[in-house]
Amino acid sequence: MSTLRERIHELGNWHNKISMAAMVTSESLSGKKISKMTDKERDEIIKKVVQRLKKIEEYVVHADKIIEEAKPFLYKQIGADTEIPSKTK
Amino acid sequence: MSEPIGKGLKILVLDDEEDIRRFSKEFFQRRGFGVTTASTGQAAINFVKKARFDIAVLDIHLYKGKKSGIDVLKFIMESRPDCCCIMLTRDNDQKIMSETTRLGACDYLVKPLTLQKVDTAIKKAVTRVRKGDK
Repeated sequence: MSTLRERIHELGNWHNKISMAAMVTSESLSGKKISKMTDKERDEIIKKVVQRLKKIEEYVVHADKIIEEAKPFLYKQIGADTEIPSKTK
Repeated sequence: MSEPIGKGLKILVLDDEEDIRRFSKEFFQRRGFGVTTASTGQAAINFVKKARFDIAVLDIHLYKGKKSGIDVLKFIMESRPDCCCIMLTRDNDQKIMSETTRLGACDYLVKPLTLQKVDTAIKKAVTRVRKGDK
């Protein structure tokens, strides 16, 4: 069972991956004129972008899973609507 | 067309996440750097023992291995103090920031990384390295 710190750290890792993947994906397209590419070049770049988008989707799913797992734990400690910490014994 | 910013420069990237290493490699190669990646602090230290790097991008918190990015920073500052180290962390923690600055780090970036954040830090580091101001 991982600690809350570890889970938050892992969540941050997924967010960083999302950010980095978006960064390199946008860069792979920037400065290129699709109309001036050969068919092969165009196919390669589209394939790469699609692969990266799939990766981003995968990372989002992982990040979301961590949030869903952390929710019950956090809401037990702090009221989800009141934002007031639960009383400790 | 202008020369890529990293032409002739070597960069070491330390991160325990494989995808991040791959993205970083692509990012820096696009800018003309010679890129070496390491997945553990010990691997990074081994690379530093064998080769000279102009810039090192070091993740502070590593889950793999016993050495942290700070251990690698200490090693680099002792053995290759001319290398410009950019530290990466998730915590906007003043204590860690001051500690890494005291140890000799050039810069400090808080994750998640964005194009603008990394580009700015890299331009700053390259300017320092090319001026010999590190």
